[in-house]
Amino acid sequence: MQNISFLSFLTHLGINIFFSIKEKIFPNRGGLGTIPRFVAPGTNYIVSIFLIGTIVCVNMMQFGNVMRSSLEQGSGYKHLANLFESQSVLAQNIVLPYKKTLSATTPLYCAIPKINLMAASNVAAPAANTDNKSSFIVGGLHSTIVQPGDSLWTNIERLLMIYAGGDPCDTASTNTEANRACRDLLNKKIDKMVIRILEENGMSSTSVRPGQIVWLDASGTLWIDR
Amino acid sequence: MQTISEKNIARPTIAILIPCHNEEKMIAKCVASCLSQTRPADMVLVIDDGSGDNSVKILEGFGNRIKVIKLPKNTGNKSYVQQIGLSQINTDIFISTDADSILDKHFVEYIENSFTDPAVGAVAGYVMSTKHNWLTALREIEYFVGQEVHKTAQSHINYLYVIPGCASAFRTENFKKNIAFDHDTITEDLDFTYKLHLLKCRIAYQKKAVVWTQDPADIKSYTNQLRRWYGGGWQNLLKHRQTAVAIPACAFELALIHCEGMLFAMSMLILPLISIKTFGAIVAAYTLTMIIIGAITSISRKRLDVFLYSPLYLAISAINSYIFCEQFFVEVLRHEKNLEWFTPKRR
Repeated sequence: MQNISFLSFLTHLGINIFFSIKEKIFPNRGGLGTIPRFVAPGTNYIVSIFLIGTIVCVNMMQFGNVMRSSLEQGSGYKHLANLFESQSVLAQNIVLPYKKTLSATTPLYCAIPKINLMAASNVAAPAANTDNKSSFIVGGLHSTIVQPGDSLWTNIERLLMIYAGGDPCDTASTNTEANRACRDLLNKKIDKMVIRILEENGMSSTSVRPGQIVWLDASGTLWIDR
Repeated sequence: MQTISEKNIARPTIAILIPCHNEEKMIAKCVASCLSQTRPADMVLVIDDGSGDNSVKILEGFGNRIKVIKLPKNTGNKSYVQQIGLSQINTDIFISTDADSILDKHFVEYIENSFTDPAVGAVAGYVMSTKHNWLTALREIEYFVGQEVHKTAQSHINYLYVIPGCASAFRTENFKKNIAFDHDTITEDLDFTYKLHLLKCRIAYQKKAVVWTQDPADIKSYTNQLRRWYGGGWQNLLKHRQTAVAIPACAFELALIHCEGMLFAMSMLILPLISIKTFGAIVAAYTLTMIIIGAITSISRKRLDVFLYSPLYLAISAINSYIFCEQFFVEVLRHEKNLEWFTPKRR
């Protein structure tokens, strides 16, 4: 069970080179593995934790650097969007029909940081929602706006929701069992998010009914359309 | 002065243990290889785990040259069968192999030589993949790198991550008393390797003791095998996590294999979603590296197919990465503990 990954491969290669040189200079002097036997009892634990910690830290830095440089190229969302647009069931059945409702000259992925989904959806935007803050429909399909400073994963999660936005039953004749199942799945995620925001505002899921519009205004106040 | 005959008398007795379940295509070759050793084994024991094919009939054809124990029904787990077999063995050393494997004719001889050092508690042999198609060619690259680079380095720091189940040998008494074949993980070889390390048993790595094994030749069998290996890897990590803090070399290896492996696997899966450009650069570097490694493997193994298929290694790496992450989810996060065995498609 050994992935051929770069760091593991290079580390083991390095150990082999080290020992073959060592064997040439100091033949038959024992291996590196004999070192821990000379240290006091208990030291092994410290050495082990140090080794695990070092490798995990080095890896996290390596991983972080790759991810950061990828994002700095500014291409991350475009590729994610392209991927869904060109390949997935989501793209074929949900994204493309919905995208038609947006401006033809503004690709969806470019507009993500500032788009107001309510304005683009087939549901009339509440008057209080003109400030480009988040808005939701409980048990519905319309999600949220990505805020600057949101984490990568929050953005991806929201992006997926945005892509599922626009009720396929309303927008196109391409509805299938597959997109319905997909929509149901994403709705559950959106509902969870709505419930979380309600709870953050001192309410619960019983405070609203399915289909009811909920939104946050610029001051962060939660509004419920009754 | 010791004469040759006296030396022979002092030789340890050796048994070969082979668990078998529906292996009619391979079992004859396996047993024949065990019986044609330069240093004959004192006992060849086959435990048939309720086979529904002609395995038993084929085994009966070997007459009294081998001992066969037939279990009335399939136990569903290799370690149960091995434990039953172990109870029937009274030799000094026993070799455990698989019914789909073929031992090199010098295998027992080299294993015996490794045990001349009394500190050695177990010996790990060298595994090679029998030639068949692109999948087995790519597996050969994995075996080559895994054994020539990773395992050789591990033997330098006295921590072999795993003794391969198809090429392993042990001191019988010690194994019976302190180790045994447990049934609570799906990879029994990894389980007993951890236990041997905890007992401070020295594990020798004998590269000359070669076993050819039949690796999966279709994607379904391949992914099933990976699920067992990786799932078993995570199961054993959870079971033996104390070993990691007790033995620094173990910590080092586990951090590389599991932590680094996990990040590598995640990068492989996530990076294409983040940046095609970065992913492309990594793919190019990785593929080039694998072609070079493929060329070295090809020369070493004298197999041109290994080099020809090496550019495809990335595809296998993607499958490996996916299953590695999947099994982390299944075994570590969901604690499903899958112990079910599967019978791969034989050819």
